[in-house]
Amino acid sequence: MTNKAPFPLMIICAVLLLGSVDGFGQLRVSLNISSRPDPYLSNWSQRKEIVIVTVTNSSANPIDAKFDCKVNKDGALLANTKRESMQVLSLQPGVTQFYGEDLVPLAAMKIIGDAEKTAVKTGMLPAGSYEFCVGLIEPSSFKELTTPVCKNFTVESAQAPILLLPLDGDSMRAGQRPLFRWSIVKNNTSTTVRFHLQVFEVMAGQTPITAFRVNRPIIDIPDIQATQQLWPPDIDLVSQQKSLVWTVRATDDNGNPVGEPNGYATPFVLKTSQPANARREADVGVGVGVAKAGEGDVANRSSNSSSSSSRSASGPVVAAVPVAAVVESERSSVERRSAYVAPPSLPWWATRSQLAGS
Amino acid sequence: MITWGTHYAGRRSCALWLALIFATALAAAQEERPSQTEAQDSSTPSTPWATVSGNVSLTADFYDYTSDPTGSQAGRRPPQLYRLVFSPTLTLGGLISLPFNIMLTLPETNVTTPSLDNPSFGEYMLNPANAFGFSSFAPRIGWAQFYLGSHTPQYSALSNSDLPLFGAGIDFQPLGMRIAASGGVVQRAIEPDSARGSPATYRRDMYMGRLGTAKNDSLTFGVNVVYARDDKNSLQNNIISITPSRIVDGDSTVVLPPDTVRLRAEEGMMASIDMVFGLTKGMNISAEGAVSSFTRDQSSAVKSIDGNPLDLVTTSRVSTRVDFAGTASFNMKADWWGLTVTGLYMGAGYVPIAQPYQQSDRFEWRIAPSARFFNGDLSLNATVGHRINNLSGTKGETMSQAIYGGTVNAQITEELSILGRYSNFGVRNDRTQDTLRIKNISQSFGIEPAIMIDGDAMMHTVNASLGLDTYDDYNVVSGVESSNDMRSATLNYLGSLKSIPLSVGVNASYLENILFTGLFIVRSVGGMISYRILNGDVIPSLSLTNSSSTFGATPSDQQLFFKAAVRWRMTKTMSFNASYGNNNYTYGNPAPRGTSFSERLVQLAFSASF
Repeated sequence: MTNKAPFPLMIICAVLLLGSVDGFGQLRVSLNISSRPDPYLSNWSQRKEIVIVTVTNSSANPIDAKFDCKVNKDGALLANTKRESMQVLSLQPGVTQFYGEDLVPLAAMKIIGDAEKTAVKTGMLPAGSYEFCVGLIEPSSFKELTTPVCKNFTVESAQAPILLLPLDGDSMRAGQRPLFRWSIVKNNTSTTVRFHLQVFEVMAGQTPITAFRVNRPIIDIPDIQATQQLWPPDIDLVSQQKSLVWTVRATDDNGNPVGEPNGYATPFVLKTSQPANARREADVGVGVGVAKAGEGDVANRSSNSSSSSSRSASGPVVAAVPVAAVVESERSSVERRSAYVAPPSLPWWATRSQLAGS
Repeated sequence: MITWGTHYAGRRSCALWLALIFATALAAAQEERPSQTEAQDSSTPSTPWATVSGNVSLTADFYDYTSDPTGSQAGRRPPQLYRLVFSPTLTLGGLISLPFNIMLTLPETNVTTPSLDNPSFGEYMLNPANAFGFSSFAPRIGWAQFYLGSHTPQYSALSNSDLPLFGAGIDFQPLGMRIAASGGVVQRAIEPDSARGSPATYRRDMYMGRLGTAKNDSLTFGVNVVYARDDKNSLQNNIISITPSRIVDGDSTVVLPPDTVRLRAEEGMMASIDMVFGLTKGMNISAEGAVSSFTRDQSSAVKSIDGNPLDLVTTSRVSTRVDFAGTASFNMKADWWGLTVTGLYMGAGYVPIAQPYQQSDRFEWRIAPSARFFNGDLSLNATVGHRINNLSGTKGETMSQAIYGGTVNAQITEELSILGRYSNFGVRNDRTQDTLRIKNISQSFGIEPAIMIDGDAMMHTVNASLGLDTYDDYNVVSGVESSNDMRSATLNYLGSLKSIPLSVGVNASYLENILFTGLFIVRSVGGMISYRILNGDVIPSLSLTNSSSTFGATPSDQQLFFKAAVRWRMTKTMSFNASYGNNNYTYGNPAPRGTSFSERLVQLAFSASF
């Protein structure tokens, strides 16, 4: 006497079998992916045009399935979706479209090796060539319902330019015509990187970064393809008296910034300087945008003050005094400024003691 | 939004003039005070309960521009620019000191950041071009300072703010400790203006704090925190672009729905620990370690990040990046020599929220020795360093940069001094022969002698400079075209007569840039004359410079620059400067920038201290 399965169980199995056989071959997946998508992973869920999957269910019934996605870089697996974590989709008959967040939810992604650490740190895919593959799988058994469809894409990302010469804090002698130089920017595409040179005057009471943010540039040259630019001969140089702050911005053919932050190189300061003999005779104070040779640019680059407000309970400390004194010539005069003209957060009495001496 | 633009410009001009008149009166009163004080000294000395001191300067620039043909080029400066910098300090009874900081600029000239044509009063004050703030300090207490309005907190190398903050702050240093905190607005909200092409920006609030020891010679230690957040509700319209429904390229069956791209609201926080350890007099070690958590988009989904130490105080999202940074330095300064060694690391995901123009994902170190000999007559400074960019490799090739440089400043005799300088920058990546190879070497060499001869009848000052800049590009494709050299020479002579207050100067310069496409030459010659009158209180001057520039075989461009200036020292504490500059430029090749242009700039400046 043989044991037979209960009749209801046989019916259930038949339905499931028919359903699974019915799912495979009745689902079709097509993949469209931007050839140059945004490198930031968080944008993939918000920009619909980056990746679109169209699923066609040619059956008369909805079919449950999950997406199964893989990302390969240079032929090796870089990331894939965790099958157990992916959402179960009920694919209705007809055509349905899905976008980035549905396909590669970051919470359900597994990134291989060091790439995960890099993704956490930077939030982006490294620049390079990739292959994206997507398919549908059965929610419980993970059996393939469609053959994976793959497309290639390229992530473009480049570092922003770095200013080279003149050095940060360098001096421009009277009559000298500076040659601005910066590093090249290479991206892995055929688009041309162009540079936009901007030079700003630093006016009284401004820090160099403030001048960069709020002034109108006296030199504003876009679409430079080289990595250098001479001070243009049609812009007067003789009368230049104020310190300058300059930078370049890298953009692609569409005007989009290349590199962070926003395509800008960290601005440099270029000072005007009196002749050497005059320097020896002058009482030159330290502080106003002066980057002394050998000092790290982190502390001196941004503002006119020292790295911290220098004051102690024992009494006034002679802090940096923004004094610019020059030789007695026709083009210069002694200016003594209070703490608030240059670095507002320096204690008032640190400069008051200097002013009292005058 | 209420704007007072049409009438407010006039009110701002009135405010500028009123402030100038008030400051002038203060300065004039200060001029009278010595005689009054002398008269009073003989009788009964008295200390006023309120005193005002400080500085004021008011500048006005007027710029005019014409070109031929009309409109072939745009002017480089705004037609008018007015600026007031007013820094008075009000001292009350010797107990309280209130330094004010007032800086007003009219009109807005922002280019890197968005500007407004008719800002309201609040929007005007939040423009970083303007500042209004005061601090309160009690000298007799000695440790408490308050800020209200514009101020720029400075705590440590990695937490220093590049951005002025409009808000409030404190800085207490009781009992050898330091407690400081500030909060306010660092970026104003600006609606997008498609007519002007200016983008939108959210209002960004920033809060900073420091807790540690006050600066001292032995050990200074502190913890710093900086937090900044865009206010998503500060804009009525945060739409950047709207893309209509469209068919996907290459597949007509797939229709993309319409898409709206909105401005991302960012949020960031950094925390650091820093210390300065004084080893001996003139020698110290400083170090700082920081962590940052930066969210590119506040509307992205929440996602916890393992190992994020700031997860307890900020919300981590899928667009959040977390990374570390550190800096260390050794400083040694003796009587005749010094040495500074610095190192800096910024992780790829580190975002210096208070220093928005710093680049991360790099490591660099520098060694900078210096020495002075012969009572300072000979000074030497050198810099050797190395920088590696794109450490993470996420942005193409990792690039390394070598830095070498030095200056020698020698006072040969009382009359003769020479400055020599050299710098060498090399930038390269790891590729060797393909088209993406980067290997550039930029060298700059200069020598600048200066002579000052104090004759019986005249003082002569001669300054010269010779410079050589080379740029070598070793890329297999672009190298030939981008490599170039530049040679330059300048000569300046200034003669000052002793019998009469007359100074005469001449200057000349020559520059040639050897490019792949041709030789570019710039020549200039000029002269100036000035005369002191009224006991040197008034110094008028004139200067004229003629320049020509030639590229290859094209006709030369010609420039004539004329400047007339006068400096008037009205009193010991007040001065007035005026200058008129006229720049006439004629292009040898009319295309593409036109035949010629002419620009005129009048600059007026009044300054006083009181």
